[in-house]
Amino acid sequence: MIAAERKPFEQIKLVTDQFENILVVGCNTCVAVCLTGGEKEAEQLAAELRLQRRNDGIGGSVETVTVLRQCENEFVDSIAADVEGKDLVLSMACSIGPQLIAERHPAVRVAPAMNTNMLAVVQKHHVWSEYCVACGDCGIFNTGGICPIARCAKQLLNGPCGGSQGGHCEISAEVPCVWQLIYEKLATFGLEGNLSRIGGPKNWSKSNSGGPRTMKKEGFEP
Amino acid sequence: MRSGSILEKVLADGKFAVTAELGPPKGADPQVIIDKANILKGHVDAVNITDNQTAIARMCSMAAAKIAIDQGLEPIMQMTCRDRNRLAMQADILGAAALGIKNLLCLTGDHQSFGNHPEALGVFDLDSITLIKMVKDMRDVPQFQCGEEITFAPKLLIGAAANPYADPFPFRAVRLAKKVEAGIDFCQTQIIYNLEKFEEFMRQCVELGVTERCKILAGVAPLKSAGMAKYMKNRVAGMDVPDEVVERMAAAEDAQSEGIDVCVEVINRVRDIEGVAGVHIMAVEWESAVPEILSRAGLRAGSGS
Amino acid sequence: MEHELADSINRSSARPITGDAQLRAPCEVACPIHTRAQRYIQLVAEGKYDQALAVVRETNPLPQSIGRICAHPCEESCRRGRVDEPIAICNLKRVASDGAKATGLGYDPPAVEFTSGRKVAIIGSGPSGLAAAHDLALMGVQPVIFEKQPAAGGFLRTGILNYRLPKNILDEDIDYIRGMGVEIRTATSVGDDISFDELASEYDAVLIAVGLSESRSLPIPGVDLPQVLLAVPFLEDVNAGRDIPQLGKEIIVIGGGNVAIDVARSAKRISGGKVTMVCLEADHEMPAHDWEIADARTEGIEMVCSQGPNAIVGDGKVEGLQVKKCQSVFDVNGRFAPTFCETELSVVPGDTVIITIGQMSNLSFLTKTGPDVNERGILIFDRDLCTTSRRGVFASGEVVTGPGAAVNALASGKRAAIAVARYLGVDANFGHEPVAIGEVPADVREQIKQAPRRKMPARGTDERLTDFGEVETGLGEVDGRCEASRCLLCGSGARYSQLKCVSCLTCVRVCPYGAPWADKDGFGGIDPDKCQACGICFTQCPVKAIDLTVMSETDIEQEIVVAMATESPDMEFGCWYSQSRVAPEAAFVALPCTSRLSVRLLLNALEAGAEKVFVAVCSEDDDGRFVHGHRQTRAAVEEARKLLEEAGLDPEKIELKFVPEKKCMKEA
Repeated sequence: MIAAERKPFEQIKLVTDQFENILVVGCNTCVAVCLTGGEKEAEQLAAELRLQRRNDGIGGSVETVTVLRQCENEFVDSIAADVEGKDLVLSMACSIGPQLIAERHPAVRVAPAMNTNMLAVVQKHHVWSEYCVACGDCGIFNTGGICPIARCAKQLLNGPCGGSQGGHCEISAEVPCVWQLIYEKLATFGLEGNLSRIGGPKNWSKSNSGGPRTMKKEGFEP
Repeated sequence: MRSGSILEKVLADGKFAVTAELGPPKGADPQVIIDKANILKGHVDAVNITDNQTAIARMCSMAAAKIAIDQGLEPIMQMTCRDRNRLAMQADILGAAALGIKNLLCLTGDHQSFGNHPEALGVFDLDSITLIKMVKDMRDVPQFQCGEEITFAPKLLIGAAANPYADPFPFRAVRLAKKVEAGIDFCQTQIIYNLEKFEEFMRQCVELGVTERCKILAGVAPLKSAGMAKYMKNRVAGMDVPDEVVERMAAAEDAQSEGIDVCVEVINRVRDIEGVAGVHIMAVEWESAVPEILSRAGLRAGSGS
Repeated sequence: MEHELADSINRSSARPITGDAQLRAPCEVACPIHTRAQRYIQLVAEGKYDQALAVVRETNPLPQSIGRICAHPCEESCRRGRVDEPIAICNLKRVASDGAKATGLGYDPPAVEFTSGRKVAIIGSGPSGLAAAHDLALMGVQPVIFEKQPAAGGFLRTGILNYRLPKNILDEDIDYIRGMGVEIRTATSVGDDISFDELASEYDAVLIAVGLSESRSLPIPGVDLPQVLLAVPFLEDVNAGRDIPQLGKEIIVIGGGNVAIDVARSAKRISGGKVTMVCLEADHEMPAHDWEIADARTEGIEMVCSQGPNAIVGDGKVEGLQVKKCQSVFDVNGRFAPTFCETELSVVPGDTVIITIGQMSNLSFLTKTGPDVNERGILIFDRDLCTTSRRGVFASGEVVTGPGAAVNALASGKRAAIAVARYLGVDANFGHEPVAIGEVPADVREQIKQAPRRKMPARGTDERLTDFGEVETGLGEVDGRCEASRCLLCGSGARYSQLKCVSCLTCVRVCPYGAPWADKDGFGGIDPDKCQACGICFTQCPVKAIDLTVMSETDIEQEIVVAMATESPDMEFGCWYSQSRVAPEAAFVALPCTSRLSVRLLLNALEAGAEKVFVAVCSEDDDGRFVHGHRQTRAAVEEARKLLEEAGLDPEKIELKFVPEKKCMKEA
């Protein structure tokens, strides 16, 4: 899933304080699953904003609405009536949400309430870890099914580097050395020798570095 | 003096500056640079040493600039954001200053997909404007981008590029003003063929006060053929080649001569525009045209006439 | 025959409830009238006795009486019974009515208008007739009850002794029904004072609810001796306070049912002598309720089991009962078919025999015009529609169902009321049989805190045998509320919407009891058998796909609004079961546990205008009432305080506090 977390309230407030009637829009997909921007969180942030604004003597209203996915035109269009009369839409989706809302509802100002962090797995309840950077050219079969682009701090294709010690990365004892994991994983298949082959260099042209990407499925246009 | 460079002095003296371009080779032979330098030497105030121009890997601009210095030619070292992060850039800036390089042109850089390594990762840690600010702080505060003090500041004249023909047009002068705010001392524009639009751009620059704080060198280039004119008109992003130029090139018997004629005409026109402090001649892989252009335009290094 | 009839009890339904697939607590399902026991237990726990009594009254027209003598099948099905002991559901009904009485609330009968313009004659004022009358009155049909005895109540009055059901209590229940406009013509015998046909022509419908008013006797030698008594007249005499000169000092009661127990205990009180019960069944097979048997034993009554009466011996007066060994009572099909060893005889000495082997109805008032009875003298009857063979004549209670508990007679009467009302064109429905949730799975059972059942206090044996005063004195407030706190809230917990669910698995991860589940397609649910209604999944569900069946998010929001309508500027969120408060001055919002408070609800309380919000927890450990319950409460409070702080408000506006004295769920 896309993992995103709410911005510090101080940052949100800087924006919302300038507006009178605010609509907080939750997104019930990725950010709901990562427990930061779904319907409940949207209502919670709205309640928090209302209390803050009452306390700070700011008038106006803070309402909420939640859609299943803020990355779909149809869902985003469906909140037209809620957006009507609002001065600011505060999106709790990943950064796609505020962008699409702004695109589909051009008359209203839109702000993000979230920072989009990563493509993650749920390590355990309330802990998410980055597993993918959407590089557009998956090569994890060669690395034991473990992605060094997402999970190596240096995005090495020929790790582990000299900083790998005791199974963790040189940047932090909290971060496992993914190349250690790759080595161990391949060793379970007796394939650690594969690592003597030089890996890469990576084709970055398929990543965001190659320019903004568009994906199309041809042949089934309605 | 900020840098003590010849270019700075020429500009400070209000003389009409002339710069040209020198592309480093796709090889390690210093002689290529020595030869090109000898063609340009004495004709121009300074010469731009390009940095992996159009994302094609070449000899680095710092080494080429040093070779140019050794040939008695003042280099304007170009630096793009595409291939290095801020650590590498600061290291190169300090190294360049140590080697006697005194002019630095700060660019974002063409996207790597244009060049010969389209699979390369584009770094773009900084963009041209944040790079300018970083260089200015390194020179004037002096400090590194992180805020740490620099004990021996690099003395560099800071330049940038400006394109009057990119969109949205009303923002182009504003964006140049941002670069001025970030710290540039001079800028070189995109190749000028559409003079009406350039005049409007310059009028806006004057209005914004850009010309008071920054010397603007108009970019010019000799067309070699009608095909090149068409190519630049249709295929090169950010270029504006008017139809009559393309037609003139097509009609010409001697295209190269016609191209130089057009270039000289442009130079003569821009010299009369308020705020234009010089010209920058981009005779890419046609360095030999530069002396002829200058002579026909009645210009020479530091001539000011 | 009795057993054939008894089968129909299981099919009778009572409460006109609307269609609802929601799984119910087993106590509610097991109750023949489907009383919402869980709800009144909760209200008792909160000390809201009048509201608790109102819940009882929703289904039960004789709350005080049934609260004393109910056979409480609910307790048999109580899921707490598998954890430690069942909730004392019946006793708590009495706590509700006693508590309400102490406050003077809950005893004013509703004003009823007989809008239908229809009148129904009901023959018999036992529980079935009273229930039918009560419900018919509420449906706008005017009932008139005909009772041949001088006072109403049927077997509750004539068959149940004062020490179990004091007469004044029964009177209060009946007065309530009278207060609704139900006319009861006592000392009016149908057949003698008014003919059945007259009744049938004067009223729009007739309900026969005459019960089983005659005792059965035994075809054995010696049964004609003067010291041989029958149970029903004996109990009538006892209840009427009449002398019974035949009664000696060594009394043999034949029978092992609940009536036999009552007879034995009465005889013990009157005679002060020795009382022995003789029954066919083995010790563990005795049909009387275990607690009745235990009470009788406490009072010194002896049991002679697995013996069948062969003859009453004595010359001119009873000297004993000859019994033969009973080898088995039921055949392989479970039918009553006793077998005896005719040679293994013995004599139980005694000077009085009271035969308590069952009862039958007296239908002598019926005429040739019907309704018809079968060859065995039993009314021909449709169990579903409560109809007899004669149009407009209905029947209910033991006369058609056979002997059973009073609550079954209520159920039968209530069903008949609906049947009659429908016949009379009044809009009424039989309703659906509710479905119960299943047993608590073993792994969950181990996670539930043990809490022993509160014992019903009773007068000492020596004292109680001296009179017919009530033996059980009632649980009282503190014990009653403690007992109520043991309720497991079956079926009241998480309600899940597949439609809203985004399969985030949060509930699966946070539930301490493993109730939620999801498969690879994201299809999921919450197992009601495992759910303990702690609310942790509800507070953490990011998309509001989970709510709680009882005390839902909307309910809590409404409670917040109601609480803020009071004078107090502060609010306390606390537990239903807490008998003490952390902020006695604050407006109180009671929940099963503060574990179901979400961060948003805490903020809402402040939004609603609370100056300060107190959140009560009952212990310093992680759990409280539920596993990890207090951990959840603490986390929500901490998070809410954090949000307040970052929003520039004083985090002290929300404060967690420990209840000063925990009284519930503790050893007595």
